[in-house]
Amino acid sequence: MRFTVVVSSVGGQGGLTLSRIIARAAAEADYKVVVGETLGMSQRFGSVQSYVRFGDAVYSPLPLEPADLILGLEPLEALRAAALADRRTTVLTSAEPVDTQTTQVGLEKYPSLEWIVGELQRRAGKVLLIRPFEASRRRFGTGIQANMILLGASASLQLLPLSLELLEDAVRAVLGGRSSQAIQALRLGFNGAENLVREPGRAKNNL
Amino acid sequence: MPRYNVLGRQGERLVMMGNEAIARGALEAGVGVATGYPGTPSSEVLEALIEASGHTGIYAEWSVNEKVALETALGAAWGGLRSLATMKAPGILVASDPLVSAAYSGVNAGMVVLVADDPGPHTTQTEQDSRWLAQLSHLPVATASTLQDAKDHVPLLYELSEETGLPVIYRTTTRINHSLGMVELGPLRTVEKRGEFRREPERFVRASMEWNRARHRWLLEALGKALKPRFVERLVGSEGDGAVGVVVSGAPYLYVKELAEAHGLKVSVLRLDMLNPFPEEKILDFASRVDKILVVEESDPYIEERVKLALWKEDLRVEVHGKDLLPLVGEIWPHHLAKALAKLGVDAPSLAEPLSPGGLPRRPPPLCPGCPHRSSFHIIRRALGLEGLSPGRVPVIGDIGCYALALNPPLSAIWTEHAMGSSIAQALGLKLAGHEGPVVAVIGDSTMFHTGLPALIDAYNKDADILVAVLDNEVVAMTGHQPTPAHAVSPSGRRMRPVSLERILEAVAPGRVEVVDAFDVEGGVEAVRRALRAGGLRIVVFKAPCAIVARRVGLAGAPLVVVEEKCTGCMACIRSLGCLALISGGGKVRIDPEQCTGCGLCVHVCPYNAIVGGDGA
Ligand SMILES: Cc1ncc(C[n+]2csc(CCOP(=O)(O)OP(=O)(O)O)c2C)c(N)n1
Ligand code: SF4
Repeated sequence: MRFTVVVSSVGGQGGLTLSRIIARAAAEADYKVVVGETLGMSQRFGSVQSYVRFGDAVYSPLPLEPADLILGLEPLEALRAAALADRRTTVLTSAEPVDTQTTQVGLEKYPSLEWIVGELQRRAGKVLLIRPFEASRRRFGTGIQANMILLGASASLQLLPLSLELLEDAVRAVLGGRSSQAIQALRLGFNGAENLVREPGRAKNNL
Repeated sequence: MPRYNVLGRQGERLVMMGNEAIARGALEAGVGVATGYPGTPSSEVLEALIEASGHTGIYAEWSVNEKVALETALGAAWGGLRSLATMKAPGILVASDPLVSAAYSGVNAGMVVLVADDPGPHTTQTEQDSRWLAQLSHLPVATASTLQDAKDHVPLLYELSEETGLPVIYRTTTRINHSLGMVELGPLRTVEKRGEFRREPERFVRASMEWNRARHRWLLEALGKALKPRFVERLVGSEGDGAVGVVVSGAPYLYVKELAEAHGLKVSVLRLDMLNPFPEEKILDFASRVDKILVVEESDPYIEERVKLALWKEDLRVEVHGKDLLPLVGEIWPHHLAKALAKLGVDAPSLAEPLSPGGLPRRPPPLCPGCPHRSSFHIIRRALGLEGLSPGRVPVIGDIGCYALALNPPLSAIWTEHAMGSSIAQALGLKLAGHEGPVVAVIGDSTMFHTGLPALIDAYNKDADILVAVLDNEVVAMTGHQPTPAHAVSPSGRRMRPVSLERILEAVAPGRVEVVDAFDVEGGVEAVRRALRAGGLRIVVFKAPCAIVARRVGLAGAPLVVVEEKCTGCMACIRSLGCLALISGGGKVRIDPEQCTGCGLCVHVCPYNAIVGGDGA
């Protein structure tokens, strides 16, 4: 078994923490684990991608094959990561766009969510949408736990071959004293996945 | 909760970042003094050692620049403690003068200079290949191809340094520094005194040409001792079996290994972590067992050229490939490797090249919401305008730091960004070339301490018409908020003597320094206008803490709000400032309370007074 998760996010959204937690859980499950990263110039508001790879014969921090799972904390960034998608890939991404500096000031146009979803559907086997920042704000008053909600949902839908228990231990190990709210968020994503995650139809305007 | 995990028990297996592994290696070598200047990809090594310093006998602190970092480590190694100096590729050039001389004096205890190159590049201004320093300095140079070795090589390199009596250059690449993987820990070692500093002028004084010739001879001989089997056997590994031989160094070794184990790739592999002296015997032995060789290395054809030379010297005719089949620019990805091997007739899988969908908007890194630099650039732009100068006509010579991000629209402020500390002397040169009107040089506090001061001294001495804008955010922000010499407490908790940058500036250019609050728009504009009118070299210091640090220590203000009825949707705030806490939607702007630090700059640019404090004031 060899499994590749690509975590794609905007700097500051918690994508790197998310990939470290997955790595830690996979190591606890006795898999070989490697994590590679592609950082922009700054970790703040730039594109950030990390590749978490685990299984038996895994050594390379860069993926050899297309991803099994793409976890997107931002839809445009999920589409950027679709460079690593093919028919076997599932994409679970936030449907909450974040402007880039260029789209904010009108130099480039941020594409419509429908277009992004359509492009993802053309490239990946399955595309699922979630609004993790909204869910985090509703429950905790801040968007900071969005990454944990996304992770919990992915485990609940069995997109990730790692149990909730392993993930909880990994959250404790990686976040230490800051883990109690993160664990609540992980469980919120896990138990609420049915309601939080939706599969957009192939027709237009589904969200 | 510690940020880094480097103090685990012997035998423990942990998921570690490459930089943590290297830091752990330093603790397993009993390093006594560790220095460095920040800037990814190796920053976390010293950060982890600083964090661990309370639990070990190590002295680990940031230095003012790489030259000082290297000299401090050299002095420590003369004094008998194992030492480590960490830096990025451009940094070892800053330190190269004392480095090359250090090869003549040698060390009394092991010394390692860690330089992290950045094929890609991901975060560095050039794709400099620091392996060429081997030829320049004749020092031993090694690298690591796995995360385990990134750690295990460190204690070995200290032994090699002590065996040869020479400082060792440990050259890693981002892909190793910044990847995570399983590493098994070895025993920690206590700091030990390994030698005494004595008066030996032939060794330590470079004023006698006769001594210098003698030391050069000594150096070449000393370097040869690195070829002892106990070093070569650990730094060069061979595995696999196939007619095509792959000589590989650095992270691409991991791609070869996975292709072999997961895809049944059949090649002979020579992993080469020893880069100087070059292990020619190992190469010759390997070449005699294969039909063709593919050299797999990132950046320049350093190994390829030395392999060809070694074969030529022995008249061994084996086909050698490398940069004819693999990229000269950017990182090597597994698909490049598979394609190159297929061209040589190896049964390699065809791996797709990951191609992002075209036409997606870019996401360049912006200045953070609440960044004081945004306000400083706004002030400079406005002052130039009020003086009747078109901001597009006045060169703004930039330097290296977060302020260089003001390059991007909408601020579009910076004209150049070159090397640390370059801005002021470049502005001076521009004036000497007859540039009419003022020139602005923009430089941060850490960069001023680093190498800006000598240029400032020269520019004042020559009394050039330059406005030097010092953007003092009280920290080395861009590289992860390390301290400057102005701090009174180091991140290890040690008390330091804070150095006042303002008093230094005042001493260099008496009566020519004005200090303003970076967020005081009116006061700042007046100060810049005064400076422009006065002519000559003038310094305006814009002071305010980096917004990230301010937020971390609870200094950020309450978020502002947009009064919906007053906002006309003119977008003046977004178009002039580009702050990502300002969010447009439905023809209006709103403020993201999780991003806004209440800096108030947008209040100044809204023509309709629609932006107010969170309490409605
Ligand atoms: C020779 C060299 N060393 C280190 C770096 C890495 N580096 C890039 S930006 C930067 C920070 C400069 O700090 P400062 O001038 O205070 O600007 P700030 O980021 O705080 O705005 C450093 C150290 C470099 N580019 N070149
Ligand atoms: S890290 Fe600090 S100095 Fe750098 S852009 Fe952000 S607020 Fe500005």
